Amino acid sequence: MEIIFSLWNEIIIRPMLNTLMVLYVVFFNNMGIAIIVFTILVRLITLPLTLKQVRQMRSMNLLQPKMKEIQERFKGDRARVSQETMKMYKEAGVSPLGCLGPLVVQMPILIGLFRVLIQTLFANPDDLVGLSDKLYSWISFLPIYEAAPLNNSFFGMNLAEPDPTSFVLPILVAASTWVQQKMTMMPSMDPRQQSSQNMMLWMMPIFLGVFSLGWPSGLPLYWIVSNLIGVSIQYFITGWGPLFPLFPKATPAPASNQPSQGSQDTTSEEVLEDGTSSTNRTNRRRSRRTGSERTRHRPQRGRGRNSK
Amino acid sequence: MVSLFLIAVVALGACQPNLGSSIQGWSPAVASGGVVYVATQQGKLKALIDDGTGVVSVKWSFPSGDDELGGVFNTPVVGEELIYVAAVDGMLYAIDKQTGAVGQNGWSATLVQDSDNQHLVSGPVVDASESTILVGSDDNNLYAINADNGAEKWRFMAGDKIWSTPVIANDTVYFGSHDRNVYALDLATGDVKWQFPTGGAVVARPLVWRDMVLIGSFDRKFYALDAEDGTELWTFDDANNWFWAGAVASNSFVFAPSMDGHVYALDRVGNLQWDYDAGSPLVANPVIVPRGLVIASREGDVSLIEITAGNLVNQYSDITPVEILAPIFTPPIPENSLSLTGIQVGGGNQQESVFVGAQDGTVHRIQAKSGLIKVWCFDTKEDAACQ
Repeated sequence: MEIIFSLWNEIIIRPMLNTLMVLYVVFFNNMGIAIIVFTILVRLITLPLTLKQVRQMRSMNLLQPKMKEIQERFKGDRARVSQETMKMYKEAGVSPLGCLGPLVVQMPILIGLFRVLIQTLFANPDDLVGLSDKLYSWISFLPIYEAAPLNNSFFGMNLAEPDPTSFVLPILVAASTWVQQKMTMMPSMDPRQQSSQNMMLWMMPIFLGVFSLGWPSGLPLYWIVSNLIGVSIQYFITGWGPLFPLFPKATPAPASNQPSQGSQDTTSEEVLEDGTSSTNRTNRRRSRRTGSERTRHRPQRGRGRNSK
Repeated sequence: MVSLFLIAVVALGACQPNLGSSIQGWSPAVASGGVVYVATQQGKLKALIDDGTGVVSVKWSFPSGDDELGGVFNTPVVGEELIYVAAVDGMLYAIDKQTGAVGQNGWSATLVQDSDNQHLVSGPVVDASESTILVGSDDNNLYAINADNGAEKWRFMAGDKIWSTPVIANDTVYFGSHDRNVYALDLATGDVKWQFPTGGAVVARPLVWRDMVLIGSFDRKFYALDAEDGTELWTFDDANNWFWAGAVASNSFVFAPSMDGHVYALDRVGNLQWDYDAGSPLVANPVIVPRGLVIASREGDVSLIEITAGNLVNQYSDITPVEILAPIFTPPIPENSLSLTGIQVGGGNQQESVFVGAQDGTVHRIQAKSGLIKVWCFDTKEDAACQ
């Protein structure tokens, strides 16, 4: 157990904490800016994982019609369903656990981030004592030892204390989480899955918003910046996706809706092409079919690539 | 899947014990007249009867019932009739030593609001006539309080929090602040006599020794300043981490404990005589006993070190692996007893002992007469003897 704790400390906590301290010193002893730059850095480092995750999830989703077909064809024969499903995944170049890998890798990073932010933001004696033995003594070119305890003021807020307004940061946390989730939501053929997605679309933002009421402001700040970066990444990969229209007037039946058809169209391509390219092309084609409104919101960069 | 993952992450983050204010304080102990006063992690100040037989019992507990102080970081000060405690809840208490209540003789004063996330981390100090009590606070003020009734005499506002426990010498108050300065104020008026800028926050208790103010800073330097005008006399800058604990001095040397785990023995002009590696950060103030220097490392080792050469005499490891953060305490020892040959006897059986409070809620009385031998251990959570 001690070895695990030590590894956790040396591989996750100390590098992150010292990076944050360096950023704090470099960016004018301003913890708010340090957190923002730190979040950008973390998102950049984990960008390949994020991209892989998005692509894997899309690929999995696009295979759903075919999967349903397999389930119907071999109804009652679970072994065969499993065998055919695995065969389909293999042919499409998709790993069913592929989207879990990046999540597993990101999990310790995010948990570590929480720990690091809590450790650096709080200025009570216990946290400060714990901070001292995590600083790298070889960073002598910057005064990171001298920087503690940190100045937590940022735009009139104390980043170590909850939002003084009690609503601005929680609302931003909830709204940015909702937008990011909405953009990553994939239309599903399975009504149960669709319903659970819809539930999570609202549950998560409310859950996080309520939680962040009691968080030190530095954590919501991290979360909001991280969400904004996530939204930007998603925009450059898939455009606004299902974000617009925000509230569709009517929800068509899953079997006859357009995205599903789009998905079906591409299933055959999926086998021939790698998951990434087929995903992107499918999305672009679907975007054109679903109307001019969605096309208007497509990013210039994506359209340029598509035309090649 | 992503949502569930995020919920897990958020839940894990939110369940961290330090998220939000959960300050419990440390476990400082102080002994006087056959009684040991210890602040507990449950937010109580307990008076333990220590009759010298090794059997310890609780005399009183303050506050009574379900009320609590919120925690204490520094050693309470024992006066003639009252004991003074600066607590995390932002209050300064003067408690009747006999009854364990504020009562008619005592008082309590609200200096800062716990609800504003402000606390009293600094320990109190009382002047020789026990008329003024001084304490630093999270609202950047050093408060001078009338020891008779708790009324404010004056206050001085520094540029940042004051965690450093002040020291009084020659009608002057010395202390450090997060604003990186060391201050000297007039005890009667609170006027600034001088201030000295260091490179980091100053949370250590100053030591006034041979007309010098000796204090370490978060810039990893240990300073010797002229007590009269604050001019820098010398600095020691070989340490590798912050100076948190206050220094102590014998006749010849000053001992500066650092968070790099070393205690540095310096002569009066700042030359390093020896250093001893305790193996983990030194947060607790060391104490001097007739046999040598006693230090308690953060990882729980209490060591007795020979003063002249820095050799380990004996080690008490019964507390490991629990952390020791609070200042360790020894009852006052006459100046002429601070030699290696003069072992202190008499004056009550407490005088040959050190008192150590650990973060598991236990307090230890350790005899420092012939090595380090446990006299007793008391668990303040269970109110019972511990192993």
